[in-house]
Amino acid sequence: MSGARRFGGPHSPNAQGAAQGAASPRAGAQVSPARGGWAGRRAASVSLRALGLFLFPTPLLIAAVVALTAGDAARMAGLLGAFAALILGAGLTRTGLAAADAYEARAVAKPPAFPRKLFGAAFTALGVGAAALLGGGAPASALIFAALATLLHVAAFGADPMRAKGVDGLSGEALDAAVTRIDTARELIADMTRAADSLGDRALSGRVRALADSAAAVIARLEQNPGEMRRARRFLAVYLVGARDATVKFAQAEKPDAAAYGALLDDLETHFARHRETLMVESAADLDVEIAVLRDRLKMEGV
Amino acid sequence: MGGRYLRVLAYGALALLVSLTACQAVFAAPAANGAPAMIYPR
Repeated sequence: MSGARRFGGPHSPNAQGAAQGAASPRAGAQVSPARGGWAGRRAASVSLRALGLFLFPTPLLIAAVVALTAGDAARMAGLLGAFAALILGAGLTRTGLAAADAYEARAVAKPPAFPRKLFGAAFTALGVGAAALLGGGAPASALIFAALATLLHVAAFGADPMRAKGVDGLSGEALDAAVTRIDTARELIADMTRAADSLGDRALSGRVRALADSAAAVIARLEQNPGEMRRARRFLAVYLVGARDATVKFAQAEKPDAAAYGALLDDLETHFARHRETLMVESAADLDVEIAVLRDRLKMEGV
Repeated sequence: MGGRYLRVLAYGALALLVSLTACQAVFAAPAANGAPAMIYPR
């Protein structure tokens, strides 16, 4: 046995586990915040390239001020219009990149409803053409600059994803329904963790996060095998909605009953864990019994 | 690898194109009394 001792004092979260740490170092690791804290979460990506697009048109503002001092209102309006088009294009490109990232991150996904990157390219071209025209260029060269801007924008940022992706054999309405269900489940999990974070109780929110992780694992599995969606539908409807509602109610209650909520979390944790296993073996009957039990339990809690 | 290089190159070119056309608009002679911005010798 090594002399290593788990860090933590009597007031640390999971204090009980920390106290036992010397005897068994893994005792407090059941809902380890390190596992529940960051596992499975993605870093928010900031596209510096898209942010640059907001800066490049800045000289147009200076030109607009020069036009203003020269008393040329039409020119000033034109320059501001070109600036606005370029900024709008940059904004569309940025949100388009975020949407493409979200599409990439999912195994089953619908394409973004609006092709933002392509519209960003169009607005960038419009702004470049207008700026070239106001800079004294001939209309023909302004057109060429605009076309060049479109080409470069598409080459630099790519086109938007246009097709729904998923597993073969699932298309049309079935794919739409699967995507909607998975997105709804993700929102429920996000609602639940947000409500738990507002509790200000690190131990509880750590437990809820661990629960959310385990639910996210089930959803990731469904994404890989949308064929299991039919059986998992009740899991999504009963467990997730129940867990979310209970957490939100607990967070909003004036006198929250921490013991009852803790017991409910215990139940949910065991059910979640068991459900992951029952999803893998085909025993729908077991699942129905479990769901009926859980539903009664949630009813008892007044959720 | 090549695709990434091309993307970065295209982005650099786009950045140059946007900033240079914007700068051109600053330095172009503002039209006085509706005269064209560039006056060519006849």
